[in-house]
Amino acid sequence: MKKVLAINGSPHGLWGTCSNIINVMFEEFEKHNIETEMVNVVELKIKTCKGCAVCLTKGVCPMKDDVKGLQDKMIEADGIITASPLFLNHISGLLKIFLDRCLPIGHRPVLHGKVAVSVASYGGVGNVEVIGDYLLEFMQGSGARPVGEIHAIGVDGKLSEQEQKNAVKLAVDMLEDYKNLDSYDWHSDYMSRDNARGMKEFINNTKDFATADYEFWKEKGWID
Amino acid sequence: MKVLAINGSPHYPHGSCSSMINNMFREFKNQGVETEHLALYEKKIKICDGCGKCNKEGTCHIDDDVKEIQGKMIDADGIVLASPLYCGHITGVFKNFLDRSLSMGQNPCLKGKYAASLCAYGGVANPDIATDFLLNFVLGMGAYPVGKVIATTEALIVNDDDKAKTRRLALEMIEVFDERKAFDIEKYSFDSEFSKGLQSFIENGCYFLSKDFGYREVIRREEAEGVSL
Repeated sequence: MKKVLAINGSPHGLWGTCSNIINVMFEEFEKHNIETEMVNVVELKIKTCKGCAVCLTKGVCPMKDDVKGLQDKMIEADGIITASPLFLNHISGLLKIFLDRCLPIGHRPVLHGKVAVSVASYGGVGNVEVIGDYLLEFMQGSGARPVGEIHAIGVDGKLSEQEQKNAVKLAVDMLEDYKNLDSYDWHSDYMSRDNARGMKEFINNTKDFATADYEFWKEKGWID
Repeated sequence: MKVLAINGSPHYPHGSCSSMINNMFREFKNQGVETEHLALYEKKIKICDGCGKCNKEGTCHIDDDVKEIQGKMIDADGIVLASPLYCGHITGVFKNFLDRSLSMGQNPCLKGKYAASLCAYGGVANPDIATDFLLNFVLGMGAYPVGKVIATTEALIVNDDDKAKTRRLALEMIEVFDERKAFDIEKYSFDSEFSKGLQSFIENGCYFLSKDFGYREVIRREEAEGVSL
């Protein structure tokens, strides 16, 4: 593993619990001479998805802002951490605005050969697992191998000893799963999920319109 | 009766969500119900910065269109929430608007109102997650959840079956409004596991939640004195 990218969807940026957890994980990676980079979505310029569907027909998003740069970083990295605080029992609107723009990655998976984890912070109330379920489903659907998730209570801005241990363990799990990537059959895992079945049907039904999707799936041999 | 539809789709005034809302509005207008179609994409809504001031002081410090939209929600008798399914959930713009409405969620201010949710999707992922999420949010604010309609669209067209469902939903909203069907918000809000967790969270001296704490203190005092809300 050469590089780990963390996408931090917390509006608190560098000063929140999400970034605290990411930093604990980064310390572990740096021990193994792995390059690390944290991107705070709040610092980027991200326009809201206009639903124009050009990404479905021509394959690229016509909007010019920081989204393409961040997606390129995801493709360059070997490990991806996605992090969000729990806002109203789900990921932050800030991170959701970025994910809306990632439709091409979800329809035409490009994150193969990468491992992915999710990080969540919350106030101790609500169903925090929803963040890991959602973000890891997205990463799996985009080609990556989901490794695990972690959540921490972020009220006083400090991590407990246990939470720090969990973060280190998750980093170690990432390294381990990356070493054993060959043993993971991404395609079978993908096709066993409801989302992929729906996607296959969608791409078949819209092949005259969503041509970029159809050509990609056809080239991969996932569709007749 | 007055109905406000909040549309989280970028395609307004075209698109499936607008089509579903317009179908509901046709029934509403037939019955003399006042309607307003509000598109979140047309409004200026800044990103929630997670400062926690709404918990502490009860209002948001960011100056944009959010207060105006919240005011319209409070003025309406019926609220329709509509979003297309993006990446398996409501649009980021809608989610950000809800993030900004946290103070509404923790201080039920939509009591006595009737709500419905609409979702349009292309057949990928589970749209119930989006419609349930929207209904749960207004439920937490005290509104009565009347129902939801999910439309599977092809090339932004809503089929006649789904259009008929939205019109039925509109009639159902008028019906429960005419009956003034009551919804036991106290039971939902204070007996649910989420609420108990929230209660202990607030009681555990979270300094920044003073406004929420104050609200709950008032309720408890009124309950003790036998004053109904």
